[in-house]
Amino acid sequence: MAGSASWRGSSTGYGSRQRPCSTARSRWCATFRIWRSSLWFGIDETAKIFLVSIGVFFPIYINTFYGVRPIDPQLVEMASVYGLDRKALITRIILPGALPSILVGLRYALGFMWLTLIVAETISATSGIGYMTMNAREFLQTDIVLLGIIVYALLGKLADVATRAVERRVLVWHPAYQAGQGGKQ
Amino acid sequence: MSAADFYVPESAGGLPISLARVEKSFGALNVLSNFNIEVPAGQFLAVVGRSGGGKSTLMRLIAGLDAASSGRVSIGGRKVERLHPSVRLLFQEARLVPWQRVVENVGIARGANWQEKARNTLADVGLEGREDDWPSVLSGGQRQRVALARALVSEPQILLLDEPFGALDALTRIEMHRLLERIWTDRGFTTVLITHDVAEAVALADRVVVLRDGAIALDIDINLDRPRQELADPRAVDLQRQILDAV
Repeated sequence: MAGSASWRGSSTGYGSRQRPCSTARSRWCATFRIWRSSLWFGIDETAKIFLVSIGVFFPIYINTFYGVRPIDPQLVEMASVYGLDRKALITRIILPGALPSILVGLRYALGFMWLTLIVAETISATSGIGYMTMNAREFLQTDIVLLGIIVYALLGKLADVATRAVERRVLVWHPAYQAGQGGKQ
Repeated sequence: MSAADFYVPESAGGLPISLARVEKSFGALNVLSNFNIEVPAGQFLAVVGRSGGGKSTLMRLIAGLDAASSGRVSIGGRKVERLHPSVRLLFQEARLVPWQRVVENVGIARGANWQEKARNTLADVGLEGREDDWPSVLSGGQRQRVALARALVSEPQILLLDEPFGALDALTRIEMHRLLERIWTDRGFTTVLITHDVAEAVALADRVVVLRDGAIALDIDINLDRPRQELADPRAVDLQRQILDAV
């Protein structure tokens, strides 16, 4: 039972010592990070990539973290009894079990990505949809402002639809996604 | 169907289990003290007792999931130090992996030809045609059959059953009893069934041991004809009464 014991032990031990940066705090930090990153990287693409990476990292990280923790210890015990090694345990039991939660993180992260990109493009940019919209605002070209908003809305919706399609595909085992297949017999 | 129709692995057979002067305590609590039992190869042993009587502890010791505080637990003459590869467990819950299909659950340990072996074993437990279903669409009895197939696919020589039918309805339970009896007769592995159901113990086992306060309160042989008809035999009722008095 050493395998499962050390697995549970390490996960709870890790959780009590170090908590992931809370969502509220990372939101608070967002605007500050934009100023800071334009100080560090100037107004070119590096700054935007840096910002977006930081922005999407936390939702996915937090959701992976809390997706792995509630995995049924009985399943982990079963896996050790049936001789699964650590690699098989992680790829066949732990990661697929955390996947629903990871995908929630991914959806949230994609929404947050567009938000960060818009803010980054309005503050420190020389091109982009956000830059175009801000420029149009200066000259009171409301049609272009509206176009910018619609383009962003469509991109956001597209990202959401794409993630949901991925969810339906990889979570086909989940009872919540089996409504169309007759469910429990 | 006759016994000849079923898939029987070549290495079928059982291993003897032996516990000598075994003690197991959790802190100050002594669960088993000076416990001795010999289970010959191929025997079907049922262990009956109240909750907290040390039944599950006994099973975990044999499985190698826990170590004895002192004494010797051996399988086939060898001391048990960790999980033995030819010992398989059936838990009270089926413990199927929800994101793996039925056939992948049965072949959880993979290995050579795992798909073919898993399909054969599933047919053996009466689940032909359900190989590619998700566990969530199966009924409780079907899930427990998948768990049984998962335990049997590696051709174990010892099968440990920890109240595996406790959560099933009465009719499904009788069905599972017949299935288990048939497979055990075909393959001849040593079986230890932990249960609190005296009728179940008498219906299945060669020998019933009653555990009370960590010691054997009764050890009797059940010499009824097989396959057994539940509740039909007056001798079975006598045996049940005798066991109930000891519990």
